Amino acid sequence: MQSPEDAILLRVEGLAKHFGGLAAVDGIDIEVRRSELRAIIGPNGAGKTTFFNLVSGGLTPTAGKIYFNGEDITAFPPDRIVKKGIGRTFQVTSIFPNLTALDNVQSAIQGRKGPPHPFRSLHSLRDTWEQAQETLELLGIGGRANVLVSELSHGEQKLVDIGIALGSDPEMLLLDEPTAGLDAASTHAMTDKIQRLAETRTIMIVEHDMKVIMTLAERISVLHHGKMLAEGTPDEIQADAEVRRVYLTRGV
Amino acid sequence: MAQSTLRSPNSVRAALFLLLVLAVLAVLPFGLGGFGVEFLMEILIWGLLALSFDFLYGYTGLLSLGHSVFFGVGIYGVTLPILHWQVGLWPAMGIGLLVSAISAVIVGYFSVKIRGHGFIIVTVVFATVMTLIAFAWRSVTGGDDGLTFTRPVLTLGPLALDLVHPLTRYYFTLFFVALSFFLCRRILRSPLGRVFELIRENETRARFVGYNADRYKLISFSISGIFAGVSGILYALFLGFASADFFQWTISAEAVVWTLFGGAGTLFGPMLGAGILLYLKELLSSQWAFTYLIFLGAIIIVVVMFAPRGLVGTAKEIFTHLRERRHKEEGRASTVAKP
Repeated sequence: MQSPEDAILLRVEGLAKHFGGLAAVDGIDIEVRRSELRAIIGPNGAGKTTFFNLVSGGLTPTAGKIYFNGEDITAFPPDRIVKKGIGRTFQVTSIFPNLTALDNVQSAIQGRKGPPHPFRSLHSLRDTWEQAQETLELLGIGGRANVLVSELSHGEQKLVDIGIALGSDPEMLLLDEPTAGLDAASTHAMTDKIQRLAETRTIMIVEHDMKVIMTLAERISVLHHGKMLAEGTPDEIQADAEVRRVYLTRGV
Repeated sequence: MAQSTLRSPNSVRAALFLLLVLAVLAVLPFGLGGFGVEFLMEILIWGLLALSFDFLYGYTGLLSLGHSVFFGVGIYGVTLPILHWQVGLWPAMGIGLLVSAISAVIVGYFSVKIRGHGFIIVTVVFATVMTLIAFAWRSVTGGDDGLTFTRPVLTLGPLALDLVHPLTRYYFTLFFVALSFFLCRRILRSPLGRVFELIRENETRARFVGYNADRYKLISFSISGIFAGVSGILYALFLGFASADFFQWTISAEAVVWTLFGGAGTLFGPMLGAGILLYLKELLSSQWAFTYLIFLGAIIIVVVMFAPRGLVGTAKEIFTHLRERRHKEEGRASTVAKP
């Protein structure tokens, strides 16, 4: 029997981030259950990416607490948060351009392990290459493993970005606009892949494409001016008058 | 069949090439006069300084103009113990190595946290401050008049060799430069070296896959600074002389030019760059006492314009391109052959 507390993977309390006079995130409370797929939506400037940066350690909160697996990880640096089990992708694809797709993912696998050896050859990392190859195959780009990622298409690069995040084997995966800049077919393929990833991991996703959100999300949190406007199932959110006013009517 | 870019059979060929270069350097003194041997030594030592700079800039992406600090600390680190305590060669070199390492860690600690151009400025400030101190503290450093010392005897077990002899000094220098080169190469091709590359490629991403970037930047900075210190130690023993001038940041700037000319991120390129540019400087300045700088500058500009990755970097690029084309053709041939 799991107690209700164990079922919560991420708990955020009164989280705030002020940039000078601007409150980009202004007191957010959120609870994400284990193996849930949670979408964060909101108009531009609502504080979605800032929220992701706070949770993943890219920014230090002005106030509030972040608990992961019951442990207080508030203000941990990114490298420690990754080791606790939170991996992320970036709105603007963030990869290692002059390395192959395989090396990109492999580097992330290595990142969670101990300190790198200063004298051994790179062959000593052989076991992690296999793992990296499997990750690429899972994402459907196994055949592109030995291509420099700077030579891959935008869609493939977005997949490598996810592959890097998966390389650190996170319990929780943060996806920041995974379909941004993709055409309809690629968006569809990406949605399928995310759905498959969601079978084994907790995912939190920031996304603008409403169709993607409504297909994927179990629960949706709506941010507006750095505050939590509403939270609920896709149906509840679509029916919410306040949400429709600030967001949906304009976007869809 | 998972494999990766850096593990091509090319690395065997590269190792053979480097051994060939080493063999040539080992026999070259016999074809050169006394001046030639001295000049070659100087090239090797400046080449090592360029190499230490490339370790940090070419592989970790940090442009330091503070490497003259470690060069100078290495020089005085070996000179002062010899002069004041009459210590032997090995202890003097040990002290030189230790103080360069300490100074590299201190300067690195305060500078690697600063991102972007700020980093360069901080390293220049360190070099400038060290220069001012060295000039002001005449009683210890000798200021710009410098300090002259007698080189200790090189003892190897029962052997006692005099470093005043040019050939002894040459092989002594070559040994430590080659050792440094292969150590740097080993480190940069290790899992640790890969982390340096990740930081150069995308520091933010490296943080978000679990690497404490500041820590690895400090490690890279320190290793690189130690090798700059080694070049200083060798230079002091080469000259039998130390001077406050060697702290000047403009010495680091020369390393930048040699590195860009020869090819950043290739280790061998910066050494080749130092060799070619020092040789050209010698050649041209004997013809035109002052105007030679114009010609030297023009040559550098032309190379950097037409080979933006430097001589070795561009050569590598061309080789890779040719190999890929051959592979593609072979690949096409084999697909046709298959039923």
